[in-house]
Amino acid sequence: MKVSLIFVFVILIFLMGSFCVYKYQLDYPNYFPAVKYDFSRNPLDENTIQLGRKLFYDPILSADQSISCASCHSPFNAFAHTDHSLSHGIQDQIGQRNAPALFNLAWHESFMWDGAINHLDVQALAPISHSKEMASSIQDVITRLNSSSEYRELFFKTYHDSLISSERILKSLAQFQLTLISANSRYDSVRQGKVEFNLQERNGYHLFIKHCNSCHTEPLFTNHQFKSNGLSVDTTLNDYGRWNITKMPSDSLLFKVPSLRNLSYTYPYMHDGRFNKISQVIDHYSNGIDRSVNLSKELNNPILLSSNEKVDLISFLLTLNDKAFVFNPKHQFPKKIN
Amino acid sequence: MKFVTVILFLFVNFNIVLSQDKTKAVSFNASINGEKLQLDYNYAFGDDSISFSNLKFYISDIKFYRDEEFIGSIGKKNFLIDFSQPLTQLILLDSISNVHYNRIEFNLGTDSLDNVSGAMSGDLDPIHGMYWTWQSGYINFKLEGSSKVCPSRNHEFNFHIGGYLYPFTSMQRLVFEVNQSSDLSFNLDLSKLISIHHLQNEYNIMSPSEKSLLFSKRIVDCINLSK
Ligand code: HEC
Ligand code: HEC
Repeated sequence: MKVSLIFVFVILIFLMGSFCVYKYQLDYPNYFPAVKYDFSRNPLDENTIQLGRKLFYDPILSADQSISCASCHSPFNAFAHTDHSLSHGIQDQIGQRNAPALFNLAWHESFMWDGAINHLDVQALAPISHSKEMASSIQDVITRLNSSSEYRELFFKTYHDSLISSERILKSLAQFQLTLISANSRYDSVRQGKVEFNLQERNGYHLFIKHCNSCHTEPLFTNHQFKSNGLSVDTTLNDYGRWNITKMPSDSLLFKVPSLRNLSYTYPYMHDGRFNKISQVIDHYSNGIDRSVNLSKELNNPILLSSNEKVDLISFLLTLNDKAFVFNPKHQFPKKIN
Repeated sequence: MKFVTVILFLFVNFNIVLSQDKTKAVSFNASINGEKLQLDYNYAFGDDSISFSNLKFYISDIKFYRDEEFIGSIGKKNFLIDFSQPLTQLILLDSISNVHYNRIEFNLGTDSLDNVSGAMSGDLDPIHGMYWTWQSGYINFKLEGSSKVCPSRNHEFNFHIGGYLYPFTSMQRLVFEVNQSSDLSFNLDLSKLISIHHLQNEYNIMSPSEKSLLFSKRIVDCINLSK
């Protein structure tokens, strides 16, 4: 009896040990809200994350093997794209929208500027299949990966058999992207009581709370809703945002509120990349809002800012830059994995 | 006591064996001008001709009832019926064969839960070409082909009917009173679906909309239980 108890105990210890090794814990501050991603359907695991990271940086996903996810989502731009206002894909084709930054995706309820995609796992199907992005298909990606002995090995290592399926490709890409967490900005240090805002930043913070926080809600700096911030339609694109998906007039020209973390790395701004500088964005909110469009009610009252206040607001926004995130080597091109 | 149980057990088992000649499969077929559909074959259609290159749809959540009482369902939830792979047109009813029922219900399409649950495998694997890539959600019903009457490129028509979001929820529930003494065979009458559907005006429905919603309802009217 005693022997068997000891045996059970040893087994338990062993199991706990293996959990510590294999279970990957997402690290984020306690003032962040609860995550939205359902990790129970895709539990994080170090090998799967590394497989996803390799896929993210590998042009093998595109038809002519020239474009990777990182071509448009560069780690040094907080995974946005800064050379062009509109994204730039296979054979130099120009897309319809500005590539958004990728971080804190576990808190998103929908993806793309118009929320066309409802789950991170299936998001990658869009760029893989888009004729102006990677111009391939998930079937072709499976075929290409299957012909690579390196990938067959990696899938074996991750899943304990070498089957390369769309579910595995998509879920591993999602896992890598879920680890992209930005929570180490100066703002975060202030939240954690490690440092204090200077006078300018504190003034800027108060202006931010008054004018911007209703949509760009802290600590993620987005409420993840669809809103109009009064941009007039670019008639060369005629992009009506959320309306494209729901066809409801009340959704015309609504776009997903982007996070304001890492703005110094993610220019140009807005869904069509129409602004290159933060100061242009502030000018838009203070005197450029087009009130003839379907403007969201949070912006009904004009935002009056003196030039000093504009400077203060910008100095607060700069505290949202997260250098530790942008230069985190764990997120960059994988030199070699095994 | 034990003896009685054994007898009972034998009796029950015997009964199951006896009743095993009951419905064993549900099959889905399609017809055009009263003939069985053959993909990539040119059918005369009035003065014109029409050919179908692709017909695929999802059947989900098959349930059996006796009057109002729920009798059983099949272990698997989603079936992709793909006319280029005839084996998929047959759904075997292993778990249901020996119970009495007089009504079958199923969905044409996938339900909203399966449309928001991320990457899936099996019949819901996106490799089957039934997942929209530029937006989320399954194409519930795909009919493609060509006809001279279509003013489109290569005279092609494409009906990709789907959408899980209100108000364009295209999944439809079908209910049939059945006589369980035979296999259940359902037929989709394409002449009816396409003739009411004026091809020269409407040949492309590729996203959830009012049109796709109406189309999904029309499909239901074109599915019959073969006698
Ligand atoms: C050609 C450039 C390009 C490539 C290549 C590309 N993307 Fe994107 N990505 C974009 C654009 C543009 C958007 C916004 C699209 C929209 O709103 O319609 C986007 C959006 C996203 C989003 C949604 C972010 C959000 O906040 O809603 C994710 C996640 C994403 N991409 C991941 C990936 C992954 C993973 C890959 C590789 C499989 C990839 N992208 C390849 C340009 C690209
Ligand atoms: C009504 C909600 C709302 C309010 C209030 C609001 N914004 Fe925005 N903001 C948005 C939306 C929506 C977008 C994206 C618009 C688009 O691309 O079409 C956006 C985009 C931005 C961007 C571009 C980010 C990027 O990555 O492209 C910046 C910067 C920005 N807002 C700053 C501010 C500031 C500063 C304030 C306060 C003065 C503010 N916003 C108030 C809704 C709002």
